[in-house]
Amino acid sequence: MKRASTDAEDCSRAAQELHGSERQWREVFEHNPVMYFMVDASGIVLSVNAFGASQLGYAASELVGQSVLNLVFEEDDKEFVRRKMSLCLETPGRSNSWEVRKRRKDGTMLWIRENARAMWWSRNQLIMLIACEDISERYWGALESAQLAALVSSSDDAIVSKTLDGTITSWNAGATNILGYQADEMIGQPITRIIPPELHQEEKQILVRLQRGERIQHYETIRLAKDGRRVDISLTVSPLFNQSGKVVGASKVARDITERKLAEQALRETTARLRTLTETAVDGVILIDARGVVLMFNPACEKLFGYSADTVIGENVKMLMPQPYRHEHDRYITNYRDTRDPKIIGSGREVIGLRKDGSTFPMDLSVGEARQDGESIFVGIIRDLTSRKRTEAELEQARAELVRVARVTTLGELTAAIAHEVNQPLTGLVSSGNACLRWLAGDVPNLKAARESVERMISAGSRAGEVIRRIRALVGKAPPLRDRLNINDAITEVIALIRGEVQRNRISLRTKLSTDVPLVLGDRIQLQQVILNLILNAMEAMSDVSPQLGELLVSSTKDGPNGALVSVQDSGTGLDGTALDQLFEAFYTTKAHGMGIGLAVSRTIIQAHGGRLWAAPNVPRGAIFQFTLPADCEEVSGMERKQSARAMA
Amino acid sequence: MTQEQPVVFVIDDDGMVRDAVKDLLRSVGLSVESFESAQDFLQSKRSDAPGCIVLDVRLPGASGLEFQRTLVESGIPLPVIFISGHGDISMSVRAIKSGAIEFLTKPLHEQELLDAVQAGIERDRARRRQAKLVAELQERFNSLTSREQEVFALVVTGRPNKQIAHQLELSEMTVKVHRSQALRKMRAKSLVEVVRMADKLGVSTGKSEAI
Repeated sequence: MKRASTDAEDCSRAAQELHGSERQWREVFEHNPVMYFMVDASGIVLSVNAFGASQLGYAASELVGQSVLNLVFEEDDKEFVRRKMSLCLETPGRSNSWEVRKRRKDGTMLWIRENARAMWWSRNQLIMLIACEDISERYWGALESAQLAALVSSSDDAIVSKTLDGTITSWNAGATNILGYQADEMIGQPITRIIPPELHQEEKQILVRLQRGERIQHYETIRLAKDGRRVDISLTVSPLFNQSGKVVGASKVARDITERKLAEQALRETTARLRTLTETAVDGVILIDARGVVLMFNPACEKLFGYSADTVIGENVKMLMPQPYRHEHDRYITNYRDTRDPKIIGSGREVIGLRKDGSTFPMDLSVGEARQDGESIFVGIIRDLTSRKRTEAELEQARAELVRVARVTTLGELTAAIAHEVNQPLTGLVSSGNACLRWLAGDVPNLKAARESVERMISAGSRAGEVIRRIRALVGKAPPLRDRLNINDAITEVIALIRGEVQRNRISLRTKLSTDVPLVLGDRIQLQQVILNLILNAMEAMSDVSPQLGELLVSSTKDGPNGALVSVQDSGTGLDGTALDQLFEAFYTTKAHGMGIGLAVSRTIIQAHGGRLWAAPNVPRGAIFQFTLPADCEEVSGMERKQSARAMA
Repeated sequence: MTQEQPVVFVIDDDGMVRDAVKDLLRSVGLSVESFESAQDFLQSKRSDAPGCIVLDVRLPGASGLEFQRTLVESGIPLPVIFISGHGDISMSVRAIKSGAIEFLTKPLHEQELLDAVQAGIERDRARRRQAKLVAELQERFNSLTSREQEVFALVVTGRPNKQIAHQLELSEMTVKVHRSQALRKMRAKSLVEVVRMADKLGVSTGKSEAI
């Protein structure tokens, strides 16, 4: 019994030992860091170790009974794997290996190297043992370096590596593009071939920094191209370390910045030109932002206003304006911002500037608007009008003097007529005076007659005075005035002055003065000068025709809704066609004596009054000179001007 | 001989001058008639009295010189005194040549004007006297028979009766009768007076037939 039991014990011990050994192997199988699959001839998983299942994200029980092909990542690869497996089954005992992508349970991919071998499990069952190794890391690494190589070769930047002694070890297509050398020309060459001689020193310093392990970033320098061009580049140099961390070389990435350099150069030149322009401009140039703060103030402005740019920049532009503009400027700007109603933007206007010393000056201001970073900025161009105003005033004075000279010249022609006009009342005065004395000298003085004589004397004296007043007015240097006047009165006065002359020339003078002629705004003396001139011209033109034919008609009518038209018609020799155009030119004359300024001056006068003076042939003979004068609406427009000047913004 | 009241005619288009001159002339007791134009004067009914014209040279319509000519042509033998705003020598020479009394410039010198007017009136008076005298003589002459006129015309040439008788184929006696008749009718007291009369009448041998 004991024996039997011992046998049984031995057997049990052996079984136990066997069992323990098997467990040990299973443990090894399960935990070996290799994926083991045992599959049957059709590819169904018979067994898989825990490591293998977990690598693929499964529990072993999930995989047993499935086809191993289900784990192949790409559908197309299944056939490849099947063929590999068939090969193994045909040659049991021989190992075959292949690489294939497998799908994890979560869908991600693994690169697997499989080593498989078929063996007889029992007499009639052929199975396959497959050991799988995860080689993903290696694959990714290879891929990464392939991608890097592609990157390097396709980069527009020049990427070059070199040893510490400056020998080129790699040269990409970008480097070829930028510098013109092919890789095979440059690899093994000293880097100094592409460095301008004067920069060799710089290269040495870079090497020193590299050896210390420093990286040099975006360093702008120049390299020589194959054709000798100097290329502007931006350089980044990184040290290359060997596995023991020692610097053994450098990689250089160079970017061609020629275009950027050119753009920068262009910008610099534009800026310089702009600066030259504004700094040498005779006109003031001022730049303000949308709030009126001065951003720029050029030297011409400094001169105009007496402020230095430093003082004005940053201040509100209002400081350059006198009241009331100063007070209202903010409102102008706000108004413009809100309504976009450009009162002055894009056009010029005459305004008043305020100097540092408190004095003001007339200036022409043009304002342009620009956008900067979404905000409006305004450019003002300022031109000092002081001298122009002075010139204008001088010109006006000269013109007035010419007009006066012309008038005096005209009056010179009238001396005889004027003498007559003065003589008449003097004759009356002296004769009546004598008569008066005689009325008083009798034994019984005739006081009534004497009184009448004195009254006649007074009226004659007044008339003489009136004549003198008119002549003095015509000769005098009175500044041009603008009065509302009745043109008929002006005509009547002129005719009174030259009545004697008209008679002496045996001319029949008629007037046809319309009573509804509106009042006009003008200088009475200048207008009378024009009328006088036209009448004298007419008389001169008629001096050659027989006395019976000498007819002069001076008429006035209403012109349009509120203008006046004056015409002087004669029956003289008339105007021949060619002279019509030249008639009003200065120094053009058909007279034997005469300066030829009468009509030119007359036209100037009428134009200054806003009217028009022209000539036309008269029917059946002679000429007709006419001029128009606008009614005193000019006053209204004058006021409008003032208002609009105030409304500048 | 009682003097007729003279009249001065003032012609000037300037009312003020016209009135003043009229006033001055009236203040020395002259009668004045004034006109604005020569036309007005010519058309007016004027009193038949000695007088003269004070005329502005530069009349509208017609010049003073032309007017002077018109006066002569219209048988208005009034002396003319020109007044002018501006004395122009050639104009005054022409005026005087055509018989103007005076050419005065404005303003008028009182005494010159009055003297000229006075001279004009005197001249007109003399002319009128002369004209009256001639008219009387003419009347007497007209009262002679044609034979007496013939004898008268020859007497004033100083021819003796015998020669006259021979020339007219009359007897010397007949000539004597005609001669005394003629002298009586002409109221001539002497041969000298007869000659003067004939002179005024413009009677001469050459003209006797015409008269």
